[in-house]
Amino acid sequence: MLALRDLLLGERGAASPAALAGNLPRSWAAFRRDAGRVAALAPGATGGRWLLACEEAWDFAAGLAGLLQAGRTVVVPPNFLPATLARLAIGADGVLRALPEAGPVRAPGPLTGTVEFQTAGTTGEPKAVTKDVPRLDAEVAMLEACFGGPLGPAPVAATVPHQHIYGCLFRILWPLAAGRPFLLEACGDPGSFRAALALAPVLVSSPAHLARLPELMDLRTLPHQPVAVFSSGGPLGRAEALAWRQWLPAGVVEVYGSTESGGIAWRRQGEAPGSELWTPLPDCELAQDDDGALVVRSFRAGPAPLRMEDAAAFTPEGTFRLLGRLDRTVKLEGKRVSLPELETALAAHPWVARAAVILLEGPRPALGAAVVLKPGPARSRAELVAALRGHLAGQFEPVGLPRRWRFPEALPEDGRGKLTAQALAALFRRPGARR
Amino acid sequence: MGIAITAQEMKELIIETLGLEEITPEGIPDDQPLFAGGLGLDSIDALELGIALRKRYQLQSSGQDPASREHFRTVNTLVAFVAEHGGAPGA
Repeated sequence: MLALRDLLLGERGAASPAALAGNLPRSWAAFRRDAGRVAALAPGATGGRWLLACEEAWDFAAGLAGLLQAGRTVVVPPNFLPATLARLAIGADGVLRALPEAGPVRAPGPLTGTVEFQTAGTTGEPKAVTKDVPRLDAEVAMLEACFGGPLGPAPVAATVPHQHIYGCLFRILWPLAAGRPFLLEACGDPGSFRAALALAPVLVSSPAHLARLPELMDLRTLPHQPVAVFSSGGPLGRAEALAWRQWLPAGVVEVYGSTESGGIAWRRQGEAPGSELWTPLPDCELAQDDDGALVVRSFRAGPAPLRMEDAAAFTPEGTFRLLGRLDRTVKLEGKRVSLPELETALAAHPWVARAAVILLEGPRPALGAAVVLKPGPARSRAELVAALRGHLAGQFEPVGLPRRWRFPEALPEDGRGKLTAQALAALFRRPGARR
Repeated sequence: MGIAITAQEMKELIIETLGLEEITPEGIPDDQPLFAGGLGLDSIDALELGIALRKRYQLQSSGQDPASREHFRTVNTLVAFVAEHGGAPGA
C-alpha cells in the first residue's frame, strides 16, 4: 500500500500492471511516464486551476496524478457535456482533454495539489467540494483498513463512472494505492459485465446496476464470481441485496457517504436481524441536529462538524437507520440531483417565467417539471418540451432531466404563497393537457 | 427462433417501458441513435429496455453477444434483433 502522496515515487514493479485494457495490462512504467508528461505541462506556471476533462479512465488517472504532482487544483467535471465543460473552463488556467503523446517527462515527485469535485448543491448553483491529498489519502487508507484484507491483488472493475467521488476513490485512487489494477472500461451492460467477471474482480457498482443486472442475466450460470461487491450512491433495496447474497455468500458491502463527507458508514444486508442498520466507519463521530439530521465529524469530512441533509434514527449500539432527505436534492439512480439547480436553469430560458421541479415516485422515480410560460407566440407542447429538454441537456446528464412536463397558467401556490410538494405532485396525476 | 414485430410495436414498447410520456411513436426515428441523441436516454434506460425485451420476447439479453450495443443502437436494429433471436411474446 502506497500513500497517495507517494503514488509516483513508491516501490512498484515497472512491469506490474497499473490498469487493464480488456485483458491487456498497462504498466506502472507507462502510468508514471504519462503522469510525468502531464506534470511537465506549462512548467513556468505553478499551481493554478486545471480542468481534467478526460473521459477515458487511463487519461483521467494519469492526468490526475500528473496535475497533482504539479501542485495544481484539479477541477473534476460532474459530466463531460459541452456546456458543463465550457462553464468550468472559465476561470481555469488550463484544460487537459487527453494525455500528451510526446514531450518532456517530469521526474516523479510527491503529489501536492488538491482535487475539486462538483456536486449538486442545495441552492440553485452547483457546488464545488475541495479535497487535498492528505484527506483523499485518509479516505483510501480507511477503505483499505476496513475492506481491503480479503481483496488480495484482484483487479477492480466498475459499473460507475470515474469522475464522481465514489468512482474516483473506489475505481481509481484506492486500486492505484493498493496495487490492484483497475479496468479501464466500465462494465455496466451484460456483455462487458460477463467479460469483467472472468477476471474475478472487485466489483464497484451502484444500486442502479445491482438491481437490474440479475434481471438481465442469470448470475448463477456465470462461471466466475467477484471477490467482493461494493455499492454506493444510494441504498440498495433489501430484496436486491438478498438476491445478490444467494449468489455471493458474502453479500454486497454498501457504503454511505457524500462528496463532502467521504465515507460515513457501511452495511452488509442479509437475513440476519439488524443487518439493515448502518455501522459508522471507525474514524467518524456521529451526532444529530434537532431536526434529526445526521452530523458527522471526521478528519476526512473537514475541520467543522458536517451536517448531512439525511435524517437518521440511532440504536443504543450506535448503529443507525436512514430516514430520508431533509432538503430539495433527490437521488435518481444514485445520482444526486438538485431540484433548485434545475429550476434555476429552466428559469434562465427566454420562454420561461417560473419553473418548479418535483420528484415523482413510482416503479421508476422520475422528475416532473411544471413550467409557467412568459406571454408569447403559441407553441405546441412538443415544441416546448423539445426546446426545454434541449436547453437542459447541455448541462445535465440524461438521468437528471425531467421526463414529465406540465405547463400550467400559474404554479399551484396556497393562500400564503407557498408551493407545496403535494400541490405540485397533483398536477402530474392528471394526464398532460394537450396544447 | 425469431419473431417479426413492426417498428411501431418496438416504439410503443420503448415508450411504455421507459415511461416517456412526452414522446409519441412518430417522434422516434427508425434509424437514428436511441441512446446518444434527442430522446435523452442513458445506459440505465438501455438496461431497462433489455429487461423488457427479455421478458416479452425471451431474449437472452445478448450477454454472450459482443455486438449487444449494436443491437440497441436504433429502432431498426432492435427490430432486426428480435426478428433473429426473439421467442414467442407473452410469458
